Amino acid sequence: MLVVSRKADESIIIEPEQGELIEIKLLSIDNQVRVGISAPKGCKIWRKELYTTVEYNRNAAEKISVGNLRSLSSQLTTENNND
Amino acid sequence: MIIRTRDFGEVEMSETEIFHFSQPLFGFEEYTDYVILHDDEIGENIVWLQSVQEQGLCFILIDPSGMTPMFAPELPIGSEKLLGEGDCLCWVVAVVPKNFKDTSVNLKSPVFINTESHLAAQIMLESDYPVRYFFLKEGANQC
Repeated sequence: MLVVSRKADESIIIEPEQGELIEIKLLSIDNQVRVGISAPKGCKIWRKELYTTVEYNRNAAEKISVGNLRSLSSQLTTENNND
Repeated sequence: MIIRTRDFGEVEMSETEIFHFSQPLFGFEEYTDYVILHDDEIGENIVWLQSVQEQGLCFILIDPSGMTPMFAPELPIGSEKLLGEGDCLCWVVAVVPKNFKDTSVNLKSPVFINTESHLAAQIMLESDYPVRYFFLKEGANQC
């Protein structure tokens, strides 16, 4: 990981091999840092803790077999009966 | 109205059965309207969240109640703006792989559905719950 020190109002430019530049600007620094990001249209920006859910949702949207769901459902029923 | 579904073909639903996501599933922001589908053989604990706008888009939701005592979801302050007045049902999004014993659910960001206002939202909880919770395996560890 590249580590750089920046003060408030200073920026970092990310130049992808293709496409437009991405600018990350530190707007203010108190106990939280305010970050401004300028990125090309179509470039999605996520808080990382949210992005884990984005990835999870993409997996969850994949086709499943109803047979698997039946097995899962009977397993859940068994577990509840054991309680 | 007829809704074209991924797993059940064409299904006749009433417009009052549509839930509008004021905060859609993260990563799927363009899809805001869904219906909930059941299968008699599967029971009430597992449902399909089927997009009204896109036939191929569908999520499996599981009722988390009784899954683990550590899960007690509390809506963050301000959630009533997304969900309206009234009680909400809490469902968790599941990934059901080929080996169903590896099924996981996302406890960090459940889907809340208000059956009175017909509003819904996927909401990231403030508590530190796992995004991938393998509830069948966790249960086995406790035995």
